[in-house]
Amino acid sequence: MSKLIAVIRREYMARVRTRWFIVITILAPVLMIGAMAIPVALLVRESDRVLAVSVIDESGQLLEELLATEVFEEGRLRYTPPPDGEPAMVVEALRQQVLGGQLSGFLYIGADVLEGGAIEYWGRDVGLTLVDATLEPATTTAVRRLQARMLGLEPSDVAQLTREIEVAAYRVTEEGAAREEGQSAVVAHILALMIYMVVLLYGAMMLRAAVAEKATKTVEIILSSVRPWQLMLGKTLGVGAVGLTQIGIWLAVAGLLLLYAAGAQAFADVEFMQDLPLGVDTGLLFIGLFLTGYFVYGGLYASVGAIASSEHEASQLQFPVTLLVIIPLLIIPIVLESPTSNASVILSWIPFFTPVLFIARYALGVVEVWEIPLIFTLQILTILCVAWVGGRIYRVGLLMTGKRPTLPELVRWIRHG
Amino acid sequence: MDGNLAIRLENIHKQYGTKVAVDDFDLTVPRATICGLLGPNGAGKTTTIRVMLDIIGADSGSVELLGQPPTPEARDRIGYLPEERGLYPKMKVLELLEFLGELKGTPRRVGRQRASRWLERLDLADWADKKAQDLSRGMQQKVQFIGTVLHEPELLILDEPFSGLDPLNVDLLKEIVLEEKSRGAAVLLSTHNMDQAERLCERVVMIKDARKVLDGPLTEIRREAWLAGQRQVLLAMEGGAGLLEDRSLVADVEDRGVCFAVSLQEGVEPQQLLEAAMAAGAIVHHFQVSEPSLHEIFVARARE
Repeated sequence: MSKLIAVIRREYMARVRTRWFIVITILAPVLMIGAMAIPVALLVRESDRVLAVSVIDESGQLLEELLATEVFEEGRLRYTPPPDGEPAMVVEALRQQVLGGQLSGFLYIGADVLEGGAIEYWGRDVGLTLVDATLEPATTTAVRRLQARMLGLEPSDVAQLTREIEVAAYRVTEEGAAREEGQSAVVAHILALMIYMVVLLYGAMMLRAAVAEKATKTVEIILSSVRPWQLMLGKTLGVGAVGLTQIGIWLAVAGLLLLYAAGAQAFADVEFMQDLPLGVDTGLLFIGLFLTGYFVYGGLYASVGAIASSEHEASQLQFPVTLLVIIPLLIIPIVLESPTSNASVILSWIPFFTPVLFIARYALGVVEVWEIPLIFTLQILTILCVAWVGGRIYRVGLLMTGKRPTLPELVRWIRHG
Repeated sequence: MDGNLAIRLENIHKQYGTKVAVDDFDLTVPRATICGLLGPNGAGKTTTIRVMLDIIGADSGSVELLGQPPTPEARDRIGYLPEERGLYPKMKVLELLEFLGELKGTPRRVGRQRASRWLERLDLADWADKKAQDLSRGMQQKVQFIGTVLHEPELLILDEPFSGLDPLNVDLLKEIVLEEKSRGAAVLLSTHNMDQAERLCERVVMIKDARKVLDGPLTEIRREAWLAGQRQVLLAMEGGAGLLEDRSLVADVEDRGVCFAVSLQEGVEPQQLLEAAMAAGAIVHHFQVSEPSLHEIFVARARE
């Protein structure tokens, strides 16, 4: 036991005292916030930008209605009249203006627009938000208004008929219902990304830890005093403790900031800060899933480290494991979109994906209580499997240097280890 | 079980696939004895040691160290300096030694005091708070050596402990090995440097191709070789070119600078070599017949 503690302490101190630890502790939250803030800031700026557009109206009727729609009235789109001339010439002239940067783009309205014809938009940037969220609603409204007027309706009726309806979303939870403006999804996404980040970070740390004795040729000295399992367990716990320390620091700082923010008037008004699905329960689940995720992936990374004989070789071999960590990251959008679908539920139970996907579903408030013991049981069973296989690979791999084992050899290590 | 024995191996057999690494190997080393484990590279010395320390398992045979099987408790009373050795590069020397002591069950505070004393003795006191990676290779080796003796083991297993050290440090470590012996520790010294073995060891065991070919006290081994007619001739002469290449007389020659150490072919008397030298017109300055050196016994055995 005292030997195990000695190994844990060494692994822990060897990492906590490094400049690397301090740098990551400070830098990771900065990077994290940056990674989320920059796209938001860009989106905000994008929505403030005024786009100059021109319109070729072959129907001769729609332009007036179009310029009366909100986007033009409020100035998000600014109308620039097209030059006179033959249609083909006009199109070419506008094309040149778009290429030259004087115009963002132009709309082409066919003569048959009232009979069901489509409208075309030609521009340099044809992002989905522009086309789906700006141009389509505006042109649709314009066509409706025109048609309503042609039916001889009163202007007030026309306005009533073509009013856009807003749908307010409420998320149903155990506690009742919460006004939803996307904050749950944002929190879910952030928590999932954080789990992904820390599991990857400390898993990779475990990879280097596992290969350290071989790389520094200390393996035989150490093995004459401790058993391979003691060494591996000590390393796993030591590196895990480093992770907990780092997360502890981050949570403490985040907590202080929130306290400060709660006191500061500026934040008290921000509606977004209210109804956040963040509580002690989420925090506990986060730490629980970090730990199980770390043990699952730490074990996998340690097995890879045991096969390699240098850090360089280890980082080449880690790809299959890293791929396993990345897959849930690619699945997150599906879970965020429909967290109660069978696919989302079952994917979040798969032990290798659970840490990232389950925390996301929990933050969205769609987890059934009985799922929690289920996924933790699955996590623990997986950890035992990984430890059993990894321990065998580690035991044989520790004294092997030079040639990398082939797959059949690896299977033999596991069977006879 | 025999409490007076530091090492007792019986019928150790270890095989990697079809390659036999250690074949039916027996070894007994009494306490307070320095025993040399000799043999060419790849003979099976390191495998034997690893089996002994239960770092790898034997296919068959039994191991007894300090009167008990190689349990963790027994292993805590052993110091092992492997041939393949290193230090954690980023750790400070004193902390590293503390850690190595802790792994053998020495409390940290005790380990710290002892380590400081050893560093003082081996001229490394100024380096106690430096990182291991800042030390020269020779210094690192001395630190590894301290790590081996820090917990005052009853059995020391040293695999090529002097390789890569300058002569002053070799002498210093030899002195310490002898002190450890007088403290009561048994020492198993694995090496292929015969000179060192000859100067330090009371007993030698020789392995070749996974098998033991020689085992016993050094004096007895020498005498047996003498009785078997093995002689070493030290010869210094001018002229007599080609004489030492005469395979009918000479089995092996070692050029020692001031003279040649000559092993004779079986059945050849030293007198015959002297006569041949005279007949070849050489002026003989020095001619001495003595017991064969360990090197010669080793070469003769290795050739068999």
